[in-house]
Amino acid sequence: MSTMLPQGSAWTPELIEIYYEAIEKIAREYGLDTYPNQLELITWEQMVDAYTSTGLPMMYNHWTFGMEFTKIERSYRKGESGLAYELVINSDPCISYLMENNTMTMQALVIAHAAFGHNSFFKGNYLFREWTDAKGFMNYLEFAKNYIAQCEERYGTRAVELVLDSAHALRSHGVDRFKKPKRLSPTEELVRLKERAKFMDANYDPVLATTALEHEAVKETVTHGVNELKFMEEENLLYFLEKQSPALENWEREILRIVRKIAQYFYPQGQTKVMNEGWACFWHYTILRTMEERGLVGPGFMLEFFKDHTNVVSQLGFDHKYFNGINPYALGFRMFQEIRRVCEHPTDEDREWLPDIAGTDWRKTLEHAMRNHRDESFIAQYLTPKLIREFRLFALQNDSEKDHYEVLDIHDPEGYKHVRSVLARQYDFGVLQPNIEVRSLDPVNGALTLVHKMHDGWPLSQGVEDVVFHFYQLWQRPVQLLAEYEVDGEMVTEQLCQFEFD
Amino acid sequence: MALHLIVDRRSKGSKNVVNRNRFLDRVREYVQDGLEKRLREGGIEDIDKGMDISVRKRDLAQPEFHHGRGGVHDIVHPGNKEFTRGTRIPKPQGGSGGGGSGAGDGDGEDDFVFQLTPEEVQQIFFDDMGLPNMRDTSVTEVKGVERARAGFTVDGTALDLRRSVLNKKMRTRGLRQRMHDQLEQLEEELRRLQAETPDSETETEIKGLLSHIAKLKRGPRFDPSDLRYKHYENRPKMIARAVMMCMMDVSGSMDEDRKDLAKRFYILLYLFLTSKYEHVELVFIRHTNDAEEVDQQTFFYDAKSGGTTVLSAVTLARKVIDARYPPDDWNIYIAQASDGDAFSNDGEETAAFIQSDLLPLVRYMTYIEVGNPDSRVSALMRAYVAAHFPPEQFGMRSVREKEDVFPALHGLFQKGEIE
Repeated sequence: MSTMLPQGSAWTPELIEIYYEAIEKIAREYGLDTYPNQLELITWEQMVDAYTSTGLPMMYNHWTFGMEFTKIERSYRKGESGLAYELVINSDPCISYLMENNTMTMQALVIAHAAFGHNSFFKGNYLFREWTDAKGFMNYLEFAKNYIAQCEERYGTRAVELVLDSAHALRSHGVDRFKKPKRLSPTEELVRLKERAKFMDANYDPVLATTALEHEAVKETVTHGVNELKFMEEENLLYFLEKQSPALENWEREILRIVRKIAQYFYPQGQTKVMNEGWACFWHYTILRTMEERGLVGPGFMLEFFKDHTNVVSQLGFDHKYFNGINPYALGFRMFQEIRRVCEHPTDEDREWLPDIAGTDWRKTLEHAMRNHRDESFIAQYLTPKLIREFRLFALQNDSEKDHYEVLDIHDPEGYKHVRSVLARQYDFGVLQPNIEVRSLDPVNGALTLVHKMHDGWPLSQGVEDVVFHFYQLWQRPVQLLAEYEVDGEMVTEQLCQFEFD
Repeated sequence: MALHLIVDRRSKGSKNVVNRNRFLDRVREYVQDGLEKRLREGGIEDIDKGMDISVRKRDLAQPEFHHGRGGVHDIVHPGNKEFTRGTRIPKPQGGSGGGGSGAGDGDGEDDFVFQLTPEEVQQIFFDDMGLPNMRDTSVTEVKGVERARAGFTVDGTALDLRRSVLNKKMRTRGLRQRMHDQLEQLEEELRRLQAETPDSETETEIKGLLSHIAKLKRGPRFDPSDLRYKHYENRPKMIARAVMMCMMDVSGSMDEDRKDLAKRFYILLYLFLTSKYEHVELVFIRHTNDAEEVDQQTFFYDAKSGGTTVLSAVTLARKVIDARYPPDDWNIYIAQASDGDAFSNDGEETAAFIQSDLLPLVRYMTYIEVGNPDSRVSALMRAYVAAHFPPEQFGMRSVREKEDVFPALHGLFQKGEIE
C-alpha cells in the first residue's frame, strides 16, 4: 500500500504534478510508450479557441473558425452543452490541455486519458506513424500561419479568404490515401518555395499563361497532339489543382498545399476514432483503477471518476429517445477490454473465434492491435461474439427503392460474421467518402472532367454544385462533374453539373 | 523516461478575436442592417447594449462532397429487442428515407443567430462612421481602484449559483436518459398500484413511490465538483456623473435625414460621456416656437409643426439645470442640433443667453448644423460665430454626411482642453 495522494476537488499546479507522477509510474509499469508530455493549463475560453481552430494550438485565421467559436461559446454560456473534457495534440512533445474549471479528479482522468492514452496511440499506431510527423508538424503550422498572414498583408484578406474558402470545400479530397507522404520541415519547405518561385519565373510564358496551360503535363500533350489527356485517376483534388491549375499564382498554390498538408495530418484521426478513443478510455480506466487498488486515491475520487467514466462510455439502444449512433468511446473501450479478457480468460467460443489471441499475453496483444490497425480492420478482426450480444447489434438494410427496412442479421451464431463485417465497413473511409477523381482534360480549352464513381447507388448530396463551383474558382477553365455507375454490366455516366466561362 | 512540463497559459487570454472579426466581416451586410435598425428604432443609450444578428444559414454554408440520400445502405445498430433475421420494418410515412448523411437538405431556411457584444456594436458603429475605436483612445479619469467580477474559480468564498447550476446541468446531461427511464418505470408502477384495491400496504407503497418520483423530478443534487465561486480582481475606478442635454429644432424643415444625422452625433457624444463618467443621464429638449422637455421617442420621431425660436430652448435648458442638475454635482454637456434657421434677432439673443447663463454652468456645449445644403452661413451660425465663445467650452460644426459627425466632436477629444 502506498500513501494516499491529497484528496479534494480543488487542484493546484503542484497537485497536478504529484498526480502526474503517480499516473506516469503506473503507465510505465504497463509499458506505455509515449512522446514527452506537455500539460497546458487553460481557461474555458482558450479551450473553445483551441477546438474551434480545428483543435490545433496554432492555426491561420479564417472566418469559419470565428463562426464555430461564436456557436460554441454561446451554447456553453447558456449551459446547453459542455466542453470536451480533453483536447490533445498529436505532437512531440505531446500537448494536453487541462481546463481550469476541472476538478482534480477530472484533471487526473484527463492526464491518464490524453497524456498517456492518446499520446501512446499517436506514437504507436501505424497510420499516425506513416501519415503524420509529430515532431515537425508544429513548426510547419507556424510556417503556414505566418505564410498566410504574409499573403493577407500583401494580397488582401479578402483575396486570401476566397482561396481558403475554395480549398476548404475540397479538403476532404486533399489527401493521398494510398501513398505515404514525405516528412516536412520548415527549412525544406522554404527551399522548396524558392525553387518553385525560380521555376515559375523561368517558365512563365505570358502567351501560354493567358491562352492555355503552361504546365508540364499539358504542354506535353499539346506537343504530342493528343486531344484528351488521361490523368492517372488523380483523387487528390487539391494536389491536382496545386500542380496543374493554369490560373493560380504561386502564393495561391502554396495555400492549397497548406490546406492539404493539414488535411493530411488529420487523416489518421478520422480513421481511428473508435480505436483511439477506446484505447484512451481503456487506459484511463485501467490506470485509475490501479491507483485505487494501491490506495493512492479515496472513495470520493473514485465515485466522481465512475460517474464521469460511465457518462463517456454509455451506449444507448437505437430506439432510445437520445440515441445518436454508435458511441465510439463505448465500442472502443469495450473492445479493448474484450481483447484483454480473451487473452486472460478465454472461453471455448473465444478460442474458436479468436484462436490467435486466446490465452496470449494481454499487454503484447493489445499493443499489437493498437499499432497495426485502423477502425475498419480492428473491428473486422477483434469484435467478439460476446460483445455483439452485449450491444445486441443487428444489421439493417435501407434500400431507397423499398418501402421497408430489412433486418439482415442479428446477434446469433449465424449472424456474428455478417454483423461484424457490416459494422467494419461502416468505418471504412474508402466507402464513407464519395469517390471523386480527375478523369480527363481537353487541352484546347482546358475543360476538365471530374467523375464521381458511385457504389451501391449512393448519390452525392444536394448542393454538390457549390463544391464544384469552388473547384472551378481554382481552375478557371470549364469544369464538369459526371456520375459514373453500372447498368447491366455497362458503365454509364451522367452529368451532374457544369461551369463555364461567360 | 519522458520529460514533462506544465505550462500555465491562462493569463494569455483568448486569441479568437481575430477570427471572430473575420466572421463579423463575412456577415457584414447582416450586421450593418442590424445596426441601421438599431440606430433607427433604438434609443441613444442602446448603443451600449449587445444585439442579436440573424444570418441565413445558406450564406454560411461550407459545402463539401458528401453522400446524399438514396441507394442501398447497410448499417449496424445497437439495442435489438425483438428483431430476427429477415424482419421487415415499414419506413415512416412521407418521411426521410433514413440512412445516408442527408447533409444540407431541409434545413436551408433556418437562421444562424448570434449576439454582438456591446463593444462590437460600438466598433461597427465606429467603422460605419469611419472612426477608430473611441473606447481605446478616450480619456478616462482614473480615481483609485475597485473590485470587479472576473470569472470563476473552483474554490473560494462567494458561491456563484448560476454557474454552479449550469455545471450541474452539464454534468448530468448524461444521466438525463437514465432518469427519464426510471421515472417512466416508477410512474407505471404507481398507476398499477393506484388501480388496485387500496389497503394499508399499497398505500405505504404509493406514498413511497410518490416521494421517490418527486425527488427524481426535482433533478439531481449538487456535486462538490459543480460548485463555482465568484472571482474578483481590482480594476481602475471611474467616477462622477454627467448629464447630456440634447436640444433640437424640430420645426418642419428638420426632416428624417437631418434627425438621423443628429442622432448619430448624440450617440457618439453619449459614448464619449459614458466612457468618462460612471453615470450619464439624458435630457431631451425640443423646440419650435416654444420649447418642451420630452422623452427620447418623442424627441426623434414625433412630428410637430411651427416656427423657430431658439431662445426658448436654451432658456428651458437653464431651468432644467436649476431645478435638477446643480453644477457642483453634475458635469453638464449640452448638444444642440438644428438646420440653422433663426429669425429676426433670435440668433443674437440666444448667443447672448448662452454666453451669460449657460456656459458658466456647463463643461462643454456643442452645436451641429445638420444638412445645410449649400455653403452659405446660416443665421444661427453667424450669431454664434459673432459671439466668440471660448473654444474650450464651445464647439461648432456643419454636418452633411455621417462622416462629418465625428470631426464635430473633435474638440471633446483633445485631452486637457476641457479639463
